[in-house]
Amino acid sequence: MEVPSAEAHETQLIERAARGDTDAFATLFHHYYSMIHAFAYRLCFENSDAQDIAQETFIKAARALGTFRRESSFKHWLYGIAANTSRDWRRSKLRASRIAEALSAETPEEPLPPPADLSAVGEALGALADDLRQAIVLVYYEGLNHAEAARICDCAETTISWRVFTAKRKLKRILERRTV
Amino acid sequence: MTDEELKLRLRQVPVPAPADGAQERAWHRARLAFENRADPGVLAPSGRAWGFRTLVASLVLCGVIGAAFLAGHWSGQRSAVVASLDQDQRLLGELNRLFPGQLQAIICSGRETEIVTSSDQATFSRQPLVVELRQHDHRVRIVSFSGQRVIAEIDGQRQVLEFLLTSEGAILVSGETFLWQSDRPQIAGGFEIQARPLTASL
Repeated sequence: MEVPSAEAHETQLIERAARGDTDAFATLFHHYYSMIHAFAYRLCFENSDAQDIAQETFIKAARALGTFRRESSFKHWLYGIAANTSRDWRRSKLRASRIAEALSAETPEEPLPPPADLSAVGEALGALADDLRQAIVLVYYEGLNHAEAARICDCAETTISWRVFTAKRKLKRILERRTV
Repeated sequence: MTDEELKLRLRQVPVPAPADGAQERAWHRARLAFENRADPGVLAPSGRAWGFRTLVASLVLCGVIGAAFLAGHWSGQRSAVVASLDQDQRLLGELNRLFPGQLQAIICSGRETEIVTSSDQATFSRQPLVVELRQHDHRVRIVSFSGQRVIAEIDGQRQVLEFLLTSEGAILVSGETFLWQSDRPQIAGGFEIQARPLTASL
């Protein structure tokens, strides 16, 4: 009997899940959860945020499964949802901190300390702008090529190349400064 | 530093494991969303997990109750927020018992009710409040908590909103492009907004 390839098996799972098969969706969820959690963590550096982003990603994926058109792989489709969710998360945090600043006169509050166990590399990544960090995480950590990363970030391939170049330059500068 | 050295250093960033139970909680929320997605006609019943189905049924029931009371009081136009505070309070109490410390928001839009929960116990304030946003003929009513962030679709547009109750009792509603204050009511970001605090004792 011919054993289906991993890709064919995943295609079958996606088709079954799209038809409403909960077991098939469960298999996809458990296969990809750790990967999406790790991706989210590298974008936000907070484990609790990464957990929430991963959860939100799969909730959105569950609702939108019928719209998955296989123009990209399922994994890349999930990356796209997670990247957007993470961006919303970060914007929201920034806005919250601005509001807190505006209200600081009436409700004084200590600023949130950065995570204590963040490494130098983590700090350097955290210092990058969202789009630069997203590009470097997709290309360096997730092993995507620039064209694949561009589809996820919904931008041109040359834009990703430029972001990776800029991010690398900034990371090197920050890390070299720290080692001096 | 060469590109290879940078790659090596980047790979040294450790990723902590998700907290105990985080994946399981995420699966339950994702499964809820999966089984309640917009095209239930294509869903095949799994024939398992009656406990889970009971929970889903409870949520659907709450949604129906929510939609029913909204349909009733929204016909009364602008004084709706004040008129239905008791119902909001009851709905919030019921859902808080189902998801203790995890409920983030109840979003009622038209006849649809969405329940938003977090994977972790809340670390934010548990001061509840209700906010109603109106744009053109579309109204969205959100029961949530001070300090909470909510994503809602209003008149076809996705809005990321945050709510804050100040020490003076005023409510701030922050959107992507506007900041509204209940003590200075005005149209903000194109929305007509009303907001009231709910009592914290649930």
